[in-house]
Amino acid sequence: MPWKKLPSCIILFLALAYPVQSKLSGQKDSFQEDLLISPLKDGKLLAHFQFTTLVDAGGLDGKDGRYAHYGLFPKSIGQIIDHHRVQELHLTFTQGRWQYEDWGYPVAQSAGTGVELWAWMKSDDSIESNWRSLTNTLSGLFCASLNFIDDTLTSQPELSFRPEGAKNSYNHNEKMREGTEVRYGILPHENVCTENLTPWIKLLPCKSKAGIATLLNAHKLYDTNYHSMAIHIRPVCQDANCTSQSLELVQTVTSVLDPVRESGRRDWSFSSLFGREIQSACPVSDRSTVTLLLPPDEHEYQLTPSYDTITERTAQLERPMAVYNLSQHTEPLNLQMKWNEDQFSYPLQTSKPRVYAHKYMTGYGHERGGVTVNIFNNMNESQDISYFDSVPWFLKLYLHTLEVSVLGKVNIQQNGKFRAMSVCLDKLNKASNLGYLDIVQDLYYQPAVDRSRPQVLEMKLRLPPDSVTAVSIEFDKVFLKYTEHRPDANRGFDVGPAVITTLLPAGDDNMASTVLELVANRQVSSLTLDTHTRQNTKVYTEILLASLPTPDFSMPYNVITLTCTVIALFFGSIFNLLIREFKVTEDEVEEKKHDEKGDTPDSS
Amino acid sequence: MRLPTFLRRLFLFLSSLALLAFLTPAANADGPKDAEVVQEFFSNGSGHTNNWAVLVCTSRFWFNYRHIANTLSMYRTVKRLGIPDSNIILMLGDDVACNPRNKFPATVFNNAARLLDLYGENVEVDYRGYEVTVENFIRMLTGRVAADTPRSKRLLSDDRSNILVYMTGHGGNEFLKFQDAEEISAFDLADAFRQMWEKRRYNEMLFMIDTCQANTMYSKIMSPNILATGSSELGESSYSVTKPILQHHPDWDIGVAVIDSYTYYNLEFLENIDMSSTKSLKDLFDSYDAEKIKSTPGIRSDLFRRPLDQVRVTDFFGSVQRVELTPTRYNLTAAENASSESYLLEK
Repeated sequence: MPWKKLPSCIILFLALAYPVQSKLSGQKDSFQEDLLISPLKDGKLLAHFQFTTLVDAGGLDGKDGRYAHYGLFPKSIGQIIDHHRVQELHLTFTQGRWQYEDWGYPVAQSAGTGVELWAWMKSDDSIESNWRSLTNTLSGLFCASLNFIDDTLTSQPELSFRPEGAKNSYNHNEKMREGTEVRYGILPHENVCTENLTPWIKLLPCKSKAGIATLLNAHKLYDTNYHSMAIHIRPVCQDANCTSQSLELVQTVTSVLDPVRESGRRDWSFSSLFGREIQSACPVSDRSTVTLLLPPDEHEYQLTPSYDTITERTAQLERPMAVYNLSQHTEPLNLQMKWNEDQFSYPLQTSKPRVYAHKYMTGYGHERGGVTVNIFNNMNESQDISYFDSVPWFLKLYLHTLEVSVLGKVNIQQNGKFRAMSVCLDKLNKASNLGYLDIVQDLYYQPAVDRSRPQVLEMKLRLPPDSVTAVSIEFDKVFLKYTEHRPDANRGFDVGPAVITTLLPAGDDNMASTVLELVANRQVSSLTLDTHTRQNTKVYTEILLASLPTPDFSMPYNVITLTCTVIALFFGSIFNLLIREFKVTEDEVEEKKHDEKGDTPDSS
Repeated sequence: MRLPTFLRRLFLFLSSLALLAFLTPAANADGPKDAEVVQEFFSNGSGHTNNWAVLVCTSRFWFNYRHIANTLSMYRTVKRLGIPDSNIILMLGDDVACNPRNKFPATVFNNAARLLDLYGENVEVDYRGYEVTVENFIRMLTGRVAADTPRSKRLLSDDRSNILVYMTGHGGNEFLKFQDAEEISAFDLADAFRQMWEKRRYNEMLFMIDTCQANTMYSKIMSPNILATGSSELGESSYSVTKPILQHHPDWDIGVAVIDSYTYYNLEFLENIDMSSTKSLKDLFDSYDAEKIKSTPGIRSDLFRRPLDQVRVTDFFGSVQRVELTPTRYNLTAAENASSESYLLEK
C-alpha cells in the first residue's frame, strides 16, 4: 500500500534536504561574545562588552567580488564598507573622559570624548566623495550628526592611525597597505544617547534578546562615569604567515560604573549594575564568556556563583582571572561580588601609568591664546611616541611659536626642585651635552585653509626617561562671520583631543587588554599578539572649549531701529524747517470779528 | 445502455472542464469597469495607502524640556498606532534624555507622576541638535535634499501618503522660532506645502502646531487637502502644565515643566485610541476644552474636502490600511486622463 512507504519517503526527503540547506546557510562565519569585569583601584568597576564576528575572506563575496552573502555579519555594515571601498573602519561614541591616572589603560582602544571616525579607504579618484558619502550614511545608520564631518574637520594623519588589521604596519610589511589612504574626523561635542545604542545593538546577531547584550540597559549605561561604544572593522590574518584572511567586526561597549556612589560600598551584582541578569548565551555564538579580574587577595571578597575556571597569577597576569562559560550554564547568571569591608576608603597613593598626557589652553582674552600638552613618561627608559593634533581652522596656529621643553621629573614632589630646560626647534641640530636635543625626531605640519581644512600637527617625539615634556604652541582666534556661529553661540567651539600613539609592553596598568587576548587565544585565532610583544596604545587628552569673540546678535535689530529713528527725526525736522510756514487762518480772524460783534460763531 | 467506464469518465472530465471555463471570469474584464471599481476603492474614505509623520521640535536648552517631551509623546503615539520608524522623521533640537542636567538618564517624561518613559529602548532620532534648521526642514519637506542624504532623513512620500506634520516650540504672529537663531514664517510653510502639492508629495495632510499664537501659523496655507489645528489664537500664549491641579503638579525633580497643555489634552484623547478605533477627528476636536487648555485651539478645515466626522483619527496618527477582499481580479492601468482630480484653487 502506498501509505506505508510514506515515512521512509519523508525520511529520505529530509536526509537529502538537510545537507543542501546547511550548505546554503553554512557561512564560514563565527560570533563570540565576552564580558570583562575588573574592579579598579579607586573603587569603580570597569565593564567591557566585546562582540566579535569573523567571516572568512570571500565568505561574503557574490559575483563581481561585491559582498552579497550575509550570515552573522550584518548586511547594513557590509553594504556600507563595500560600497564606499573601505578597508578598515573605526567609529567610536564616547562620553566622559578616560582617567588614565586612576584607571590605567582602557581595554579596547579608547577615543576622545565625542564621536571619532577614521577609516582606511581605497585611494582612487572618488575617495573624497566616498568619504563624504560614508559620513552621511553612517549618520543615518547611527542617528548621529556625523554628516558634520566635512572638509573643515577631516584630516589625513601621516604618523598616527596606522592600519590595525592584517595590513598592520607594526606586524607586517607596509607594502600591503598600498593603494589606501586614511581619513580622520572627530566631533567633540556630539551627544551619545539611546538612539545611538539602538541601531548598534541591532547589528548583533542575537540583538538584545539573548546573550550578554541583554545587559545593555540604556538607563544604567548612560548613568556611568565613562561610556564608550565602538564598532571596528578590519581584515585580520588567520595565521602567522597571513596566508588566509578574515574580515573582523568588533563591537565594544566600555563603561566605568561607580557602585560606591550609590551605597558607599564596592559591592555589586548584575542586577544592581545593569538592572538585569544574563538569561542565556546567544545560541549562534561560538564562545560566550564572562571574565572577572579578581583582586589579588581572595579574603577581601566573596563571589557568587562560583566561577567555572580560574587562571592563577602568572608572570603575564598579575591578578587571577575567573571565567564563566555561559554556554554551559542553564540558569540565568546574576554575578555578585561582596567586599569584606564596612566602607570603601579611597587609596591615598596610586601608581601612575607609564605614558599619559594632559592638554589645556593658555592665555586670556578673545584675541589670542595658546595650547599646551604635558606628556608624562613614567618609565626609566626613553620612549618613542607619535603625537597627533588636528586643530580647527578658526584657531590659527603659528608654527614659529612651537616649543618642546622638558619640565622635569614626573614625580616632582620627590625632587622638591623644579628644573626646566627649554629647547627651541632651530637648536635641534646643534650637538649638546644636555642630551635632550633629540626629542623631536620628525615633524609634519599642515597649515589651515580658512573654512576649508583644519591644521594638523604631527610629531615623532622621543621622551626622556622619567620626565614631563611640554609641547606648546600659540594661536590667534578668528573673528567669524555672524552667520557661522552656532545657535548657542556663547558656549564656544570644541577642539578635539591630542592623540599620543606609543608601543607599550603589557603591564600592570594594561592588564585588561592582556586578559582579553588570553581569553581569545584559547578559542579562536585572530590577530593575536604575544603578551610579551609591544601593543600599540593610543592615549587621548582632554577636549578643549575655545571661546571665540561672539557678537551681540540682537545688535542688527537695535541698529536698524535706532538708525531708522534717527533718520526719521532728522529728515522730519529738516523737512519741517524747510517747508513748514506759519499762516494765520481765516477762521481765527472771523472768530475775532464775531466775538467783537457778540454773535455766536458758526459751527460749520 | 450504459456507457463504458472509459467514456463515462471522459464525459465527466469534459463537462467539468466546461463548467470551470464557464465559471472562471476572464482575465481581462471590461477595462473601464475595472477603473471605476478601483477608483471607487480609492475615493471611499481618504484614499491613502501609506502614512508618514514629521515631528519637529525646534527648541534648544534644558528649560525647553517640555517641547522635546511634546514631540516624543506624539512619536510614541504614532509608533503605537502603527507607523514604523522608517516612515517617521523625528527632529529634536536638543538632547534632554542624556543631558547632564537630567536626573533620570536616558528617560524623558511627560507627566509629573513619571509613569511613562517616552524614550524607551527603541528610539530613532533622524535630525538632532544643530541639524534642526529651517533649511533642512524645508528641504526635507519638498524633497530637495543633498545627494548624500541617507534614507532615514528623507521624506519619501508619494501622492497616496497621508502626512502628519507636528511642530512645537516658541512662536509668535506668523512665525516659529528655530533654536533661538532663525525663524520660519507662515509664508515659508505655505510655500513648502504648495511645492509638496505641485510635486504630488501628499494625499492629505494634518498640520498640528503647539506654540504661542499658533493659529496664525496656518493662516497662509493655500494648498488643498490640508487640515490644520493649532493651540492658541493670535495674542494668546500656550501654557505648559505647571499649575497645580488635582492630578498632577510640577515635577520638582526634573525642575522644569514637562509638557504643554494642548499636547497633553490631545494625548489624553489619543491614549484611548488603538489601531482598530473608528473615532473621527471631529471627536478629537470636540474634546478640546479651551478652559482646560488655557488657550483657544483653532481648526482650519476649509481646504479639506472631506467632512471631519468621516475622517478617522488613524488616517493620520496611525498606519491603518484599507483592505478589501474581492472575488475577482482587476488590472491596474494608467488612467486616460492622468490628472483627473484637478482642484481649482480659490484663493
